[in-house]
Amino acid sequence: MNNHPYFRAYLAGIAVPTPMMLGGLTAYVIARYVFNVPIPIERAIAFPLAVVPNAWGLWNVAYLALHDRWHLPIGAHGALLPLLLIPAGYCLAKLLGIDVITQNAAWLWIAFPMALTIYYLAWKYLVNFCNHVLGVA
Amino acid sequence: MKKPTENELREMLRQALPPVQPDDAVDLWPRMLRRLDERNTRIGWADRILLLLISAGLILFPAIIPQLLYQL
Repeated sequence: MNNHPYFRAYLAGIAVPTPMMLGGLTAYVIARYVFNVPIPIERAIAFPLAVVPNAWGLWNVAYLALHDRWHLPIGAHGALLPLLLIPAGYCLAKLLGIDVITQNAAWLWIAFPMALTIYYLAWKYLVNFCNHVLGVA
Repeated sequence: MKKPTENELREMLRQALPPVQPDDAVDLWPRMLRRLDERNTRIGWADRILLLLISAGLILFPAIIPQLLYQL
């Protein structure tokens, strides 16, 4: 299991958000087509579907590459990811005109610490578990 | 010293090296199951409090759920 450690780290990283996309997509579809919430789903889904899982995979590769130098716990490493994702997601939502995200920017101040906490726990337990199963760390 | 013949050389090599198993002959699934079983993760009390805070936050401020779903 010593072959291609970065590739395995990438797979362990995307293994957590990818199944969650099913839940997220289901919630979006129900909100859009059952409760008629005006979400432009085809535009809104691009970021969580394409960017987020790849960011998790690459962030786990970065964890493996930098762990020997930085000795940062995996939970803290994961909690740093929203610092990149939230501004990027907000900018993309602004560019694509996804009002349901950008209209309530004041909520970001509550969503931001919650996202950090969720990421901390997800990386500490779920990604760490996947890393162990795939022999990454 | 007498030089070994090709057959003798082949036999000596066979004895010296362990037999090589092809990759597809190794069943990785039992090893995977063992790895899944051996990890018994316990959630610490501080992390339980964080989980409770997140749950409370989602109940108190349901308007941030779409934003969280979008960002996460």
